[in-house]
Amino acid sequence: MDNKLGVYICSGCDIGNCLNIEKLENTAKNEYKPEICKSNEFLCSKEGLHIINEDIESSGLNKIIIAACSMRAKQDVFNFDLLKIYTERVNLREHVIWVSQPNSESAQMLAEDYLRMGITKAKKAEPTIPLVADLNKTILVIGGGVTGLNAALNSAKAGYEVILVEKKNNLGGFPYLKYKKWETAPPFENNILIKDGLNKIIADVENCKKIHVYKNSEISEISGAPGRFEVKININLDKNKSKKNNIEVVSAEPLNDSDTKNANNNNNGNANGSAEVETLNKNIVIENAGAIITATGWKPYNAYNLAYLGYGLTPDILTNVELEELYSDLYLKNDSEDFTIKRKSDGNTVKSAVFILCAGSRDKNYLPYCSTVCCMSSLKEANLFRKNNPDAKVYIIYRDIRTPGEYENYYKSMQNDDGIFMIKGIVSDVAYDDKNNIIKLKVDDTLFGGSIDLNADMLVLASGMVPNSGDFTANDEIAASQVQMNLQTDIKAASASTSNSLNPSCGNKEKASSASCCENPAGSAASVSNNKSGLLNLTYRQGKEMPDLIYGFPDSNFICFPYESRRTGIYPAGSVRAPMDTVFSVDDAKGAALKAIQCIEQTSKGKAVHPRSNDTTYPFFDLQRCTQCKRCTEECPFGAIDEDEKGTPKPNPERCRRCGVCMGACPVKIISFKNYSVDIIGSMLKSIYVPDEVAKDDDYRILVFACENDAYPAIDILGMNKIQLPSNIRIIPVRCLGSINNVWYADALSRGIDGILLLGCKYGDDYQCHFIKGSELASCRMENLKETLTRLVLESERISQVQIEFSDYMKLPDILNDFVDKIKSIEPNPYKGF
Amino acid sequence: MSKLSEKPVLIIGGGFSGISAALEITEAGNQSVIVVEKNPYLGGRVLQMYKYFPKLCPPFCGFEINLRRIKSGDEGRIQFLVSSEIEEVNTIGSADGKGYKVTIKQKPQYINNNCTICGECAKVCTENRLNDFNYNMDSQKAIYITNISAYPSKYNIDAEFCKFDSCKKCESVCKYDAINLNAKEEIFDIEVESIIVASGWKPYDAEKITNLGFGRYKNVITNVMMERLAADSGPTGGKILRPSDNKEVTNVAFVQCAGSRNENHLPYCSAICCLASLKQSIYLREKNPESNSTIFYIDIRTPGRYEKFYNRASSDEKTKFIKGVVANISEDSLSGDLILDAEDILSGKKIKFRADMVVLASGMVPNGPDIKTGNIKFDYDANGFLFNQNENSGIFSTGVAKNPADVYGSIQASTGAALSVLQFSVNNSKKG
Repeated sequence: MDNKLGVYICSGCDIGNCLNIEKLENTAKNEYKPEICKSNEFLCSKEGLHIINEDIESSGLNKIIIAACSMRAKQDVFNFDLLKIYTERVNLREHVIWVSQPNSESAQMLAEDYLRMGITKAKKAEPTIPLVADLNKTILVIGGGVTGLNAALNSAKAGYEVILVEKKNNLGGFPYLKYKKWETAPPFENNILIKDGLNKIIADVENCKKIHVYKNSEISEISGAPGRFEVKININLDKNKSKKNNIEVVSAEPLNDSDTKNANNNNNGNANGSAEVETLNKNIVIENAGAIITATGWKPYNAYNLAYLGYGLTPDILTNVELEELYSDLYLKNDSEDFTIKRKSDGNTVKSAVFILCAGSRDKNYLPYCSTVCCMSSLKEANLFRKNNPDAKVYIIYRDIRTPGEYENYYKSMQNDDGIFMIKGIVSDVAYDDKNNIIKLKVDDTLFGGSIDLNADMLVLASGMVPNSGDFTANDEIAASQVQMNLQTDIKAASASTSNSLNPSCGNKEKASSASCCENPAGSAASVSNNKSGLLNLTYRQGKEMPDLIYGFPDSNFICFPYESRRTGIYPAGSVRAPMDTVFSVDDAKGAALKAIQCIEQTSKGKAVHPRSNDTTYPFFDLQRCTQCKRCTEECPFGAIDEDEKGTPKPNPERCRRCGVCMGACPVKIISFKNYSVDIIGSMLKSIYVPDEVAKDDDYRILVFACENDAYPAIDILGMNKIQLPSNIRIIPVRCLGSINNVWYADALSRGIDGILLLGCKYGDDYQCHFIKGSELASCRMENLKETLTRLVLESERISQVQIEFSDYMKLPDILNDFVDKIKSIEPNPYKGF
Repeated sequence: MSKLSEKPVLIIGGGFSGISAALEITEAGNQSVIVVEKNPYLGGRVLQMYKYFPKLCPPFCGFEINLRRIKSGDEGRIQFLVSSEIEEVNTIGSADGKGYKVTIKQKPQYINNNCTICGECAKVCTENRLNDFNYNMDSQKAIYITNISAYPSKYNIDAEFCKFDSCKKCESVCKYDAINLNAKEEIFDIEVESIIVASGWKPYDAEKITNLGFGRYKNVITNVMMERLAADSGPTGGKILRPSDNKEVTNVAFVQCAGSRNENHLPYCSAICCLASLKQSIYLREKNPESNSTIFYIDIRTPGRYEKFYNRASSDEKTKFIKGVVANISEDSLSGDLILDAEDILSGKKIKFRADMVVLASGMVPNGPDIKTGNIKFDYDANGFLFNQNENSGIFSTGVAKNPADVYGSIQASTGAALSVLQFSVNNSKKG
């Protein structure tokens, strides 16, 4: 595309009073020969905008440079045809006049540099054409428990086709055939029969024309990307044969399954949708899907680990899950709510029962987290106990009673029952007197100081929930710590073995491959998920399952964005995502269904999903120049890039979140976005005017790469507060620090720039980087580069990274001044003037 | 997927829950959305928070992402009416699904979108107002910018303090024709297909807990005020100074369930106060390593993986936990310190505890019941939460309007409510 540049400089908001606008115009005109270069004292006014639009019309401008306020202001005004016109903003207000001495030479130089950078970027960048595609819009739901059923039904109600895959021969998950639960809406004081609600939703799902159910089935493989997932479903034929009543739902030969065909043909007229159902062998079915909800639920924590609480001593010591099963057996057997709870050991009526809460939970040796539901479940179980065995005494031994919100009502109503004794304490001993068939407990009662002894007929352990997130079990301490150790060694080894070049383009293949920053760049994700299998069986380069956040839960790390999973288009919901009860699982299923729908709809329009929602750019790979170093496939935080046998990347734009981490990783600069590339940013920083000599403090030049979501706005806020910043800094916003390519350091330092500072998000355990490990990768890559700097007789202090949060903007002046002072304390960059 | 609905979706409340619902709807479906917000700015209660638990990350980070989503989204699909309140909600016709006629009152918009936030107006303004964003702990000009991420990005005039015609300094200094001091209140009707109630919460009025001294003793503050004291943009520039004498606090007592889980005040648990106090304790200790933190509690409620956060707070040697209810707080009037009478349940002793500042973990009260409605009734429960959702009526809820929840849970609910809206629309278009 021929560049037709229009440069518009606003002199309003005091810009004209603090800078020499004419000189700025001359800089633009003399150095870049734009088609149009104008200034206006109120550019965002109707008149100002009218001038620009007229110029676009009459001169065919395709690149507009607005030198005015921050790119975060007046976006709705400076909003031109995205498909035809590339618009670049130059921040003369927040980042120049509001943080500089008015009419100083240094402020003028700063403004000129920003103008140069903006025009340079606009010259190289192109408007983007979104990758619009007719995609498969079916939603695959894995797991037919409460969450899965609700996810399926809710997706169908919103008009989408659904495939529901359930491992067992019945739908309903854990609560199936169970007895009672607490009511699903306030006041949360009563218990209700589970089967009433559950049977209805199971029937609704089975009768829904939009939902195709596979029971006795598991996922054997998922490949592809949002809008074009290919799902291999393994149907267990033996189970189907043995359970005849299920045969009508799951056909052994799906090709003849007219339901499937109908369902798929209805799929938005997408003829190439999931209609292709092949029979690879007798029990594998292939379906196509647009997005995936994993609702694989939980399993009870292995009670045999709780021998210290007496589990295994007698059948009368059982887990809360076993008690629930006992209740449902009694209910089904008696066909009545009127049953008596008897001891398994001798059949006598239970007269005293003890519930131990947090049995193994909230304990670093067992389950370090709180399972959220055990307090309410135990209160409910105690409540039922008292109803059915009215003479029984029930003791509840707890650490904290956790009945948040209006669940407090349930707890309160229980406190009126004088047969229930709440004891805050820690159980220090459980023994079984087999002669008298009595369970003896010693409780260190923390309320009365001393310890108390309790004798009980039955002991119930509230043993907690473990996510069904794959075969690898996170509660297995040894395995978990092993993974942690491996991880740390990996990272250490990776950084130790890294030899980076200041000029990566000269790096040969081996060098490039060894320079990969972290073996498992996305932190624990790659390594942990590589240890897992069995649920999704993704064919992804970075592992078969969803990466865990913590304790085996593939939860989101983002408070504001609870569904932000690390695999685009795959959304965990319910108790596999985080410990939650059925009331909140129902809600969670709806949320996940919305995200699945949203992913499909946004992707079909060529738009990115979170966190760069609506971004229509995507990375291009110039594969002819690829050296198969695999850095991009390893470092992509979202596992978006696969690779072939040789190691050549196979990009999946639908899985891409547009952070540019791959672009930062690539040593041969083959990955670019139309408006963001190694060349574009490299050219921008090369356009900075660097004085040949450092005659005064103002002549030092410091380049700052700032995360555009947090650090860049923080500098805007400093501007709003009119806080002076050192005049030496030149700020370039980046999508993520992880997109910084090492070649930019070389470009900058070889031009005589004295120092480079990275301002980005917090990393580590509580990372704030919305691209997961972007800021950490940047720091990792930079550390490697420092060794190279030393070899080139450049001080490694010249480059540095600081973690900064949006609202800690008042720390920034010190951070910037300190860095500038540090650079000034070193010699000026010796490469100046070369 | 569904065809463009003729009537938009109304979202009552432009806090984080409401904005999230609006974005989730417009990024997934074809509906357009009108968000009605009482404040002159979007973002609601969370923007007044210094940091979120458990990551101690700033609310402005997620808000910035959502602002980008708004700005980059399909043009005009989300309309924001700030400084606006619902006057009346009436059903259109008798059957479900015909939608609602909603009367909206918008306060005078003295500042229009020409405003560039250049700040010249505030320089000449002679009047001051109490800064409600900082819970009235400091003051600002009567023409003011509401917060560091103000959206809509413009100044605001407090009509209660502005001198209008007798001054007009701001109007004359504004170069951009952005100020119209003659602007009038507007009342108008809109028709909507469905409604999401995202009206959020307000802090429980701590003065009602008379034994804890809030309102009488300056150094007894609430947890929401603590957030402002810690924030860079707060009244103390981010230094935790106590109100009576601006002394940096070194010995802070946190009183949990201040008015919560109490039949005389709030019978329910607000679900977030334990985590909020743990967070405040952590940042207090980080900001001032010399400080001591003591937390008086009944039960520490840190469900799920928040347990890790509890461990983080409790592993600090200068943070003490005392299980017990604080019965009374009195002031040592000479020093301004506070004396807490409490029962230390674990030791069985009655104790007197001296603190230089007390933070009351006062709970959340849902705003829902304050919304005016006409011939319809929202199905609030006994505590004013709108938990029950009626799929047929097209009225849904999210955030703390629905149930006591943290941000994470609120956005989870907003995402679900967005789906309800889509479903309602699909169902309606089938009928239609």
